[in-house]
Amino acid sequence: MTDSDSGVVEFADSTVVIVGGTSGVGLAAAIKFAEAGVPRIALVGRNEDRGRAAEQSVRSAHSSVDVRFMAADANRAANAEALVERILGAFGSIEILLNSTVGHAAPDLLKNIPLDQLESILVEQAMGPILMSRAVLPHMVERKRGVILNVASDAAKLATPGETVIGAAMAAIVMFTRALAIEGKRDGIRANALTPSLIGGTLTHQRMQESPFASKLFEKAGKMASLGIAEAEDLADLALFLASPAAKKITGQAISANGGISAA
Amino acid sequence: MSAGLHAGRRLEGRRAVITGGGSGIGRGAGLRFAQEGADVFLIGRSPDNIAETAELIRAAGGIAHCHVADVTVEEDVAAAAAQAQKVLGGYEILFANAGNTDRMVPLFDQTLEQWDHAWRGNVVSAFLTIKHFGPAMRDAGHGSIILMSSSGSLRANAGTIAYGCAKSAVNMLAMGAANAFRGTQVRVNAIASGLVETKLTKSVFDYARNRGVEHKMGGITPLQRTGTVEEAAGVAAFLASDDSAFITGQIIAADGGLSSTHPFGKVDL
Repeated sequence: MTDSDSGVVEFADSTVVIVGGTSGVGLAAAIKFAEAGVPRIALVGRNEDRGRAAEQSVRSAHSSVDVRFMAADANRAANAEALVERILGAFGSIEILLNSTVGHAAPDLLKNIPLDQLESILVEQAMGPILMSRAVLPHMVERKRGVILNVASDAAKLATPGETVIGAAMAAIVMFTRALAIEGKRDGIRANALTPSLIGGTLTHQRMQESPFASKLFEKAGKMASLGIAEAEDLADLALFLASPAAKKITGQAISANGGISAA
Repeated sequence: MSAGLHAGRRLEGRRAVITGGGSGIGRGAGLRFAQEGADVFLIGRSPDNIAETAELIRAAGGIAHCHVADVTVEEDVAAAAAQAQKVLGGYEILFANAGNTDRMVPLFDQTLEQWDHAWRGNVVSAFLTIKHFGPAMRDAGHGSIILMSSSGSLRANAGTIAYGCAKSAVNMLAMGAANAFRGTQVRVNAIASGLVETKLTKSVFDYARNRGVEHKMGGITPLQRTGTVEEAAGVAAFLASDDSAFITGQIIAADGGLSSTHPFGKVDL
């Protein structure tokens, strides 16, 4: 491999793995990857029905793509490793990994979050990307190429009331991704984080409406999005760019797509 | 998933290990097991051959893993078992399919090397496979082990004498191992395959073709034909599935009826 090839994976001969690929940003990215000519896509999620429906919608976006739903909870170490083996068994290689999972916790003031929930909020949000990145790494190192994209949040960058623990988890993902980029560069592996703020029209957004605190927070944030509230497709576009050869020199970054809500 | 011989998805969620998975009946069984829903772990000596089987399985929508090993070498088999455990997290189906054959040589001219070769390639390989893959199945308490035998194990003249003797030992290994697994639901059976064209039997088919008598092959069997890889794989899939859950320690002949017949004299309908 020459230096000019380093960090490059061509969509046309790539397998893309999208954890959290059955809805929201993950599903939007899957459709765009398929349209961009990616031949093999694994959609990982916990919900079987949503998985089958997601398979269908990716297939209808591009009929020749081999898209397969893999039911798994990637938040456990053994599951992540077995999942990677299974995907390799199905497709033979993994070039691009997009971790786009969201924890269940809605923003709330720290004083209102029960002590015994703190650990699970942190772990549920932060561990998935860390485990999956680790599980796929030996394969990418061996082949001297790969792109890892982790979806975190602007809460990693901006201190936001109600996002103490979520923010800490997101910051963990971002710092993990940056350090991974520095470790991975010698093996031609790039790693970047996407840090959305509010994303309209997603299941997470819907769920947040149920919490009065979160809906107020998001309403305020939405008013600051002068360029419009980002949609799942906007984040998917960013993911595609970061995975593409056009971004071959970009690694260790955490990039926001938030319609102008903040600049950090 | 391609059409073809298809008995549904009896192996959904199962995990299958196949030795000699790079060609012939091993490849056919890999495709069939995957078609019926199993994840497949292919073992073979040639990286290219097992990779090709894996590609065929993947292209048909299945899941396949490859591992290079010589199943006559104990360290290789032990390493393969550890790798299968790691990659699959366990397995319910073990098809000890790998085997070899030798040339037809007059009895008095046969050498010790030929006999060692037949014994090692057919019996020792199956024994080592059971020895190293079996413990995990015993611990799980259930599973199906399938050994590859031949109609040459049941009758003279269906293969060389050394090959026939070795496959007879494989039959006894199936019976012995089935009894050794007593108290578990791990079953052990052998398939006594008739003449099927594979890499192993290619020379026999080539010989017949060169003499222009290919159409006569298998002519002494009631079905008056040779078998196909898909038919052999179908028997393996049956033995792998719960459809055969009460069958253990048996030698299942899939040979067009060869082992039911006598080469001289005919009774017409």
